Amino acid sequence: MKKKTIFIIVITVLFIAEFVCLYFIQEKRTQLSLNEYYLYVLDASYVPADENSEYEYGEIIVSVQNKSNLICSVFPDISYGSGKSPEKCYMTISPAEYYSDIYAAGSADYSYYEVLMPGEISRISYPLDEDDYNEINSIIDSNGEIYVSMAEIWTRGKCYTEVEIKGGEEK
Amino acid sequence: MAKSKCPGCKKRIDFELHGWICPECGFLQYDNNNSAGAVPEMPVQQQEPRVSDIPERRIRPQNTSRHSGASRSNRIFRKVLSVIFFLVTIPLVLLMGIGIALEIPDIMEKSEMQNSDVQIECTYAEINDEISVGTDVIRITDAYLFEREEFPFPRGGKYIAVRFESNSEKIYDKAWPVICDADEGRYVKPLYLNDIAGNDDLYAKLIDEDIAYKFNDTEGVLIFLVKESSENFTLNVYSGKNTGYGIYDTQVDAICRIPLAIEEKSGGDAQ
Repeated sequence: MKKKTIFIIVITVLFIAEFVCLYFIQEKRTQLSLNEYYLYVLDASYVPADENSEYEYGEIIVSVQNKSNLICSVFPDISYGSGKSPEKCYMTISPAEYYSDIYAAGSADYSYYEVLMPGEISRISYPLDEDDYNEINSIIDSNGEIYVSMAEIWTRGKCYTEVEIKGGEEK
Repeated sequence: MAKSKCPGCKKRIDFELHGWICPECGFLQYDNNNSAGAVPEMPVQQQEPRVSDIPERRIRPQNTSRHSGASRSNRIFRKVLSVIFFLVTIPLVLLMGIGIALEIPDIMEKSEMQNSDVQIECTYAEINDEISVGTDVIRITDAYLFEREEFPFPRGGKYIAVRFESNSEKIYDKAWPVICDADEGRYVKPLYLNDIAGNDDLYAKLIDEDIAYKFNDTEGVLIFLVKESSENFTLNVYSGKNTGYGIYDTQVDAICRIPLAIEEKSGGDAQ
C-alpha cells in the first residue's frame, strides 16, 4: 500500500477518534455543569394562613443548604405531592424573593442581589395559591403526608433531596 | 495476450481485450512498436466499431496531448480533493487535538473538585477585628443605618452601611462581603451605586463618600438593602479563589462572620 494511502487512513482515523473524544468531553462538561451546585433541602414546613399571615393561602418554608463552594444566584422551584416518586410529587411552586415586598411597593427589582452562599442555610418561603392550597389540603385529608422535592434540573444546577414536610397536620 | 503498460496512465492493461483502447484513460494504442504491440494484426474494421463504442469523450484525438480531456479533469479533480484533504483535514485534526489536550486537564480538575467534599472554614470576628485573607487583611470598622434625605429608602426596605478598611486595593479578587438577614434567613450582596443613586449627580456624591459595592479600595463603605422589619444582621466575608470574572466564578473556602450592631446615625455623622 502506498505511503500516501496509509497517511490518509491514519488522518481519517484520528479525525473520527477526535470527534468521538470531543463528544465525550462535551457530555462530561454538561454533566459537570449540572452538578455545579449542590442545594439540599434540609427541612420543609407548611404554614397555613391565619389572620397575621403574609400570604392568603399560606406558605411552605424550606431550609436549603448550598453544599458546594460556589455562589448560587438561582432560587429553584420546589415540587410537592403525596409521595416521593415524580408521579406523586409534581405540583411546582416558585419561591418568594427577599425583595418581593420592596418590589411590590413600586421600587426597582433588587432580586439580583440575593444569593445562596456556600455553606449557608437559607430559609426560603414558597407562597401557595388557591390551587396549591386545595391540593395540599386534599393530600392532608387523604393520607396526611406531603413531600417536597427540588429534584428538577434547573438552569445552572441540580437540587436534591425529597423531604417529608412538617406541620401539615396543623391545619 | 499479456498485459502491457499503457503509455497514458501507466497502468497495466490487456489492450487486446479492450480493443486497443485503455479503459482507464482512453488512450488509443496504434503504435506497432509500442510494448502493447500486435495492433497491425487486428483488422481495421474490427478496430473501428470498438472505437465508436467507446464514449467519445474518452477517445483522445490523435496528434494532440497524450491524455484525454476526461482523464485530465479526473486527475485535476483528484488533485484538488487531495489538496483540500491536506489543507483542511490536517489542520483540523491538529487543532482538535490541541483543544482536547487543553480540555482534559480542566475537566479532570473540575471532576476532582466535585468528587471531593467541600470544606469551608468558618470563623467569627467582631467589629474592628482584623480578618486575614491570604496575605491581606481587612477590618470592618462600623455598621450603621444609611439614612439620607437625598437617598430615601425604598418602600419596605432600609439601607445598612458597613465601613471597611484594608491594606490592599485588590482584595476584591479574593474576599466578598454578603450580609445575612438573620431574621429572614436570607443573604444579600452590596448594592451597586446606580441602584442607590438614580442619577449622575447623586452617583458622583456617593463616589465622593467612598461608597463601594465590593472591597475595591483601602477603605470604603458598602451599602446593603434589607427588609425594614429585620433587625439582626451578620456581615459574612467569604474568601477563596476567583476562577474567572465576577463573584459567580469564585470558589469559597472560608467564611468569617461578624455580627453587626446597627447604629442609627444622622446624615452628617454617617459621613
